[in-house]
Amino acid sequence: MTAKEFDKEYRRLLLPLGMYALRIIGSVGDSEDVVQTVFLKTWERIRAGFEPDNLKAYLYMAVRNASLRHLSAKANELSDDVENAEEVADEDVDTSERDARLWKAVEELPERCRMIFLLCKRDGLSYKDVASELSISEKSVENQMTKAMKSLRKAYGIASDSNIQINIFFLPFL
Amino acid sequence: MAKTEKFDEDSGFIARHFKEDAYRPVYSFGISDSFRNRRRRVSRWVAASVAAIALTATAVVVSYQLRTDNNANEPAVVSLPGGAEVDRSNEIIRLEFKDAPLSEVVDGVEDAYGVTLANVPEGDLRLTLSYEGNAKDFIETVNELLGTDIRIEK
Repeated sequence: MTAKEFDKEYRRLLLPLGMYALRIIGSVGDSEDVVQTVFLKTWERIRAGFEPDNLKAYLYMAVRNASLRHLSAKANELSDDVENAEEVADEDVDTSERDARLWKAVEELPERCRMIFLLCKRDGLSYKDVASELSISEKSVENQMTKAMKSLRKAYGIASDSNIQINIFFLPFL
Repeated sequence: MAKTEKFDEDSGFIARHFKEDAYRPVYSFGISDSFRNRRRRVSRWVAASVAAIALTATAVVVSYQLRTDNNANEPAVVSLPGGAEVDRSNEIIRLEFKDAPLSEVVDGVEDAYGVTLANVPEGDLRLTLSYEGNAKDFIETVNELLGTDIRIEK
């Protein structure tokens, strides 16, 4: 594998693997460190002649091991032997990829919209509190939240509220 | 669990942890390839230059021969083009190194700027640096960062 090929995989898998580590560790900073280190170590191994059959599967296993080691007080008791580790379940990989799509969707929200979304969903503020905080109407907050949730639902792969309502509306006629 | 419930749970999880600028690439693993490609490009450029110089030299020799044959008393001034070196030390070039060993940095700089570096210390020195500028400034920066005394030999 060339450096360029590895770099491409690094950019493609960094966020999903970050999400995978985040689910295990529960800290953005620590999970980010773990994943960046796994990529660096993996590249060093590849440069030394290591050829993983399936790089993605290998990286998921390496991130899981590194995350568990990070969490474990008895770090030395956990093996660093990624090749013989159990494969990561497809469901976990799917969850990580869905999380990555959600994360990216939040990143790509317009700044104002993202701020309102985070104030509501992360900080737990009510629409009224957010409206007061930002000196805007509650209706504006509601509109921005609708916009944000629509983007996130799309990224997640489910129909937006309006589509669900239309389907329900048409059901009696079927 | 219904998909909408799962969505609520997952989007809540992401919202609680979301941090701007997290999980961004900090390494450039493609750096080696780009240097290899640059080396290839430089090699081609050198090959082309050498060929051009050889052709010019041949033309000058032929011309000199013709002129001495036509008028032996007239002094001929022949100046061959000199300096086939590829010195790009004053060019503004962007370089990125992520936790790279010093030897790799030195190779990269020599390839990129067409210079030779001297007084490079041995040992496990590594460097992470994103830089855009000429060779002299780059080396000064490296020396400041690593406490080294690397010099540009040519």
